[in-house]
This record gives sequence, structure tokens and C-alpha cells, in this order.
Amino acid sequence: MTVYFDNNATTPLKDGVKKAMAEALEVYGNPSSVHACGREARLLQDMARRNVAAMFGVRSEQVIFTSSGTEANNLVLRGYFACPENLEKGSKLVISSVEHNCVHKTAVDLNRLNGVSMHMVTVDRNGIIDLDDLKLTLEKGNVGLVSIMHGNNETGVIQPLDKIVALCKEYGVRVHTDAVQTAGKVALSFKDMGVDFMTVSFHKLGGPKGIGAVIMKADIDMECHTSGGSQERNRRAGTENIIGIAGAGACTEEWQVSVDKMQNQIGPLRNKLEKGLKQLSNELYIIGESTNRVPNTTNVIVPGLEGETAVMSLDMAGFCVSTGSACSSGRVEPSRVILAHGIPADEALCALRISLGWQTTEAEVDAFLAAFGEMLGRMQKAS
Amino acid sequence: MTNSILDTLNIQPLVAGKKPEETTVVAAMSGGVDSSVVAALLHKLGYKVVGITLQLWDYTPANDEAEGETKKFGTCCALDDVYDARRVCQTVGIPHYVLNYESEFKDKVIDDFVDTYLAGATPIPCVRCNQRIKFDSLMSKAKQLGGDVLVTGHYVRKVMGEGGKPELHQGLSSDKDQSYYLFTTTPEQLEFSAFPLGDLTKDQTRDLAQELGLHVHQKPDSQDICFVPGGDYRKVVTKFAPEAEKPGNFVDSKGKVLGQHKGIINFTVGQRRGLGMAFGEPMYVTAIRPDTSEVVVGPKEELGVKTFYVFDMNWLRKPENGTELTVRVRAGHKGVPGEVKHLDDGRMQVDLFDPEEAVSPGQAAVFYDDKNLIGGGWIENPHAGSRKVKVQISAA
Repeated sequence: MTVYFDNNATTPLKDGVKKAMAEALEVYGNPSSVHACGREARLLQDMARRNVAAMFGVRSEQVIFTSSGTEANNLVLRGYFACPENLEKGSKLVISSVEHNCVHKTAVDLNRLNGVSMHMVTVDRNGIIDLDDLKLTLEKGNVGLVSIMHGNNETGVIQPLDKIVALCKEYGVRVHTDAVQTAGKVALSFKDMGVDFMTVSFHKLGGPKGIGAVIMKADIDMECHTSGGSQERNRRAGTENIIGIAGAGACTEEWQVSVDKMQNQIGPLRNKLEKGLKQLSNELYIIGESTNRVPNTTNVIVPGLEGETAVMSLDMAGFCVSTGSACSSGRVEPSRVILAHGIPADEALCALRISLGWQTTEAEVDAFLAAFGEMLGRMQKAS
Repeated sequence: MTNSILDTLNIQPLVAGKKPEETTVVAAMSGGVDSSVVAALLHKLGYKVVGITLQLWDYTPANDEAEGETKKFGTCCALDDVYDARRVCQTVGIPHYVLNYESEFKDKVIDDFVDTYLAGATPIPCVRCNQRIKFDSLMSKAKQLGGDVLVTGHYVRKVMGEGGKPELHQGLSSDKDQSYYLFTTTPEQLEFSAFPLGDLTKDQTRDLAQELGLHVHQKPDSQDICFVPGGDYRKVVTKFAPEAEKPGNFVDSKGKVLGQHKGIINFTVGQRRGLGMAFGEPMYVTAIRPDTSEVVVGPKEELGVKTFYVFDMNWLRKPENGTELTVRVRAGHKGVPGEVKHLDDGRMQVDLFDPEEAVSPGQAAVFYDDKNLIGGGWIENPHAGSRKVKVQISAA
């Protein structure tokens, strides 16, 4: 028996997704072709795009499919600053200290390659960004773009996007948000959020890997970062991944059901899990516990119990969890994101991410708590 | 199927009173054929096996300077070994984890390696790695993970002795015996360990690897110290301690200066070749004096040592004073008879019955009662002066 509690890393395919993708396997045309086979593929792609657009309350042309959330974030940041007119308005990129590497490293690259300066807004102990710092930075001027993630992949903490957007509007600065971890977990209306760009990745919500999207205001100038055909309204060249796009369309089809389930069923299970965990150890704490978080994520620290050891130990007991963002070649270094919370390095090494999914059952949570308790007992004995 | 080696093996339960399917085995996997066979074999016998590979040394630029080129990440041998171990686990169908112990390895093995050379002695880093990494950090990790036993691919035998106390014996195939490298194993560590290859020859292991379908069955044995690719340890030492190349004098046993050498790091007691100077007759390094950077040379007769001192003892069975034992003073040494005497400061005095050439400080003196390893310690450099303290501290 394997219990999968690593749904922030990726999720199992939904049944409807498997069906849609299996059907798409029969469609071999190139959607750019004029003939019947091309039209068939184009139809599939258009229908999927409409589903995705509907989920976020946008028009189809506001959806740009990419190969991943990572590529989508790269496309927005690089594509935005590649336009001379955008760069002229401001050459500073503002991000937060808890961004995913694909934003953080892209910002570093932009600084090195394109002379876009970077400012990193810090977060407090609960992972919420310092709005005063953001305001001060905006006030100083020359900010071209603010890119602050919606929900954090390691902790699930949700940023007060409404306040961030209001501030940026005040200074006429465009906003991008990486919503990879919130899409499908909380209801997202692109219009209500008020951002200019948003990134989503479909394998986090029951879709396939290899397909992500930028949701954006249609009238913003943004350079294509690959040269080639005019696919995706000149925003992203390359023949479309039709099977992946079909999967993306299918996983967004009944998004309301998924979001409701996340809120009404998985949220309470997560709360039960956290309550149970806290009963197992007095030293244990949960990052951002009292903060607004996505309903499925718990990042727990048991001082003295290294996350790496816990992951292996729980894996051997049949439970899949992780230490945070997919780590690099087993190198034991504390997460940059957890450190940014002001958590000392020795405790940051103990961060363990448990992320439930729409398929999670109460029995699984109970079994996990039992295994976790067993593990804690063993650690005490071994030390 | 006939003539399977598997049928001829007689492997005792790894943990007394526990069935294989109830026994969680942590296999230390280097990516070589020996540890791969151990993991695959135990899985075949029904044990719950998890493979763990330690990443100990970062083979990126610093080290590759030695070869005058910068290798790209992903082409280095260390990562190939990790890949081999993972592939074996995939073939067998068991979990595999990689643990990064680079900083511990640097602190506990490489620094000691450098310090030992600076103290005019010749280190054995593989013993330090067994002592301080595999049978310490990895073993406690194995316990934390709920493992019942840690297994390795060493050619040694764990034998139940009197009163149910395990003993550490030489491997049956004497040319592959690796017990010397495990002399620091404590009774508690031995209790938690198992060495399933102790009864086999290397050829049998390779045949088993083939029979078990492991792609590493023809992989060559590693020859070098893992962090000294190509064998040029001087480059490693001087990288961390440039002073190791400080020139000094060759002197004879009377103190007469015979010439200049290019740093004590180039010498090991007992060495004859590569002295970098012609003395007119065959001369051997008989002592190294780190404080004055002097290398003492002399004719073969001066090389023989009957009495020497050993520190940082580890005992599986502590002998009485005056016990006659077999003493091995280096890994390839067959062993010679001698007597031991405990000194008040915890050191041992070893009196060999006949003079032995090349008793090199920094190497281990390991004591056997026939095939049974009962303990050992580190050979002291009698000429280390102020450095002596440093070696002993770092060895503690």
C-alpha cells in the first residue's frame, strides 16, 4: 500500500483526464494545418483552451499554453523585460524571498544578462511578505514588474494578493503571480485578482505533466522567448502538445467540484492531521499555522528530526512526503524558502512537507499519524 | 537450473530469531559489484532491503585540476557509482537513497588524511571512513530508519563466538580479506552489522552478480582512494596544506645531512623508490621528523623494527599483557607474531619476535588470534614531536 501525500509535487491523473488524453492519442493532425486532420486537432485544442479560460474567468486568447509552470514563469519574466518599451517604464523586478526557483533564478539571470535589477521583498515568520517594504520599493520608482507567488509550494501560505495588487496599481506597476499551487485548490478569478499575468501548471490539479499556461491580459506587450512559428498568438513558438492540452482541458472541466472538495473535505482532513501531529510531540510546529494557507498543505518541523530522514523513513513505511521543493541530488541543505522565514538552519533542515490530494481519505490520515508516531518513537530510541 | 552458486550458499539468518521477511536490511552500496551483490542477494533471500549510497566527495573542478581539465558535472566517476547503485536497486526492485555526507567526509576523513601526512605519517583514509562515516553516521541513520542490520560488501566474516558474542574474522578467501580495514569496529557496531560475502571469493561474487542479472558484474574493482583519483595524493594534501611541500634534508641515523628533499609528504617509512636522490647504495626511509622536515634514510638493516607504540586502541576482545598474537602492520601484510603490553596512558607497546621492515606511522597495527580480529590501533610516529599531539587529538 502506498499513501501519496506529496500532491504539491504532482498529482495523479483524474479519470476524466486519462479518458480525454486517450482520445487525443487518436488525433494526429497539426493544429496549424488547414486540412481536415489539422482542423480536428485545432478543435480539440480550442475546446481545451475554453475550459481552461472558463476556470479562471478569462477569454480563450488570454491563455498561452507552455510546457510547464517553470516555462510559463520564464516566459512572463523574460518576455516582459525583453520588450524595450516595458524596460523603459522600469528596469527593476520585484520578487519575494519565498519564490520558487524558476522565478528566483530567472530574476538572477535577468540581472546578469539583461541588467534588470532585482529587489527581494522579505517575509515574516508566517511567510507573509512585508507590504511596507513593497510600498517603499514601489515608491522609489523604476519598478517594471512585481512577481509574487500566490500560494507557496513548500508551506502553502497564501499571500495577500489583493493588497499587493492595490499597492502596485497605485504606482502603475504590473503584477505577475505564480498561482501553480493555488489553482484547483482555491477559486481563482483572474479578473477579481486584478493581476496582469498568472502562471498555472496542470499536473498539480489532476492533469498531465508537461503542460502549463500563462494567463494574461491580452493587450500586454511580451516577447516570445523561442523563435519559430506563430503558435499561441506569437507568444510561444512550437507545435502544440495536443495530448497534454487535452489533459489540461479535461482537468479544468469540473474545477468547481475540485475546489469545493478541497475546501470542504480535504481542508478538514488537513486540520485533523495537524491536530494529530501536535499531539505526538511538544516541540513540533507548523509553519504559517495561523495564516491563510491552501487547504491541503502542512509544513511541519520536528526539531532534531531531519526532513531527509523522515522522508526515507516514511517512504519505507509506505508514505510519500517530501522535504519541500524537489531537492537536488540528495544534498542536505536547508531550504532557501524556509530559511527566509527566519527559521534557524538546523530547524529548517527538519522541515517536512505533507500535501494531501483530492483522493486523500480519512483512513490514510489516520494511518499516517500512526506511522509518524512510530517514527518519532524510533528516533528517540536511536538517538 | 543446476550449479547455481545460490544453492551452495549457506547464509545464516542476519538477525537471530527474525525471519527474512520481517528483517529490514540497510545495504551500504558503493555502486561496485560487491555491495551490489549483497543487496540483490539478500532481496532474493526474502529480506526487506533498502540500498543507501553515500555521496562523499564532490568531483567537480577542484579535484579535476589534477588532470588538467575541468570535467562537466555528470561525467565524473563518483556520480557514475551513484548511478550504478541506483540501477542495481531498480533492477532488483528495492528502494534506493543517496545521502550526502560530503562535509562530514571532509571534516572526519580528508582533514585527518592531510593532518596525518603533515605529522610525518601515512594515513589509511578507508579505515577512517569505515570508522567515522559508514559505521557511525550511516549506522545511526540505519537505526533511525528502523533498520535491523547494516550490511556491507566487505570480505570479512562475522562469527558467533562464546557466549553469543560476535567475532570479526578474516574473509575465507585470504587474498580478498578486508578485516584490516575494519579494525575500528566496536562490539556494538559489529552487533548491528553483517557481511554476507565473507565466505566467498571475488570470482564467486562476480558469478553471483551475473546470475542475479546485475549490470555491474564485470565492473573493475576500485584501485584508488576515492578522493584521490589517479593516485596522486600529494595534490590533495598540498591543496589543503601547501606547507607539506616545504623542502628539508635527508639525514642518516647519526644526523649527518645527505642532501635535500622536496617535502616530507613525498615519503613513507620503508620507502626505497622515488627518493629523488642517489645515495650510492640502496637506502630506505627509516623515519620522518615533521618538526624539522627531516627524512631519515638508512640501509635495509636500519629499517627493521621490533618494538613500536600504538594509540587509539579498539578492542573486540582485550588481550592480557604478554599475550602472543599475530600482528599485521599494513593492509597487504600477512602478519607476524608478537606480544602486546598495555601502557598506563592507554597506548600499547608491541614487541615483535623478529624485526619487521616498514612499520609505518599512521598505518594500523591490527591484532589477530589466528583468523579472529581482536583489535588494533594506530602506529605512532616516534619522531613526531609537537605534531604527535595533533595526530592523537584528531584521531580521537
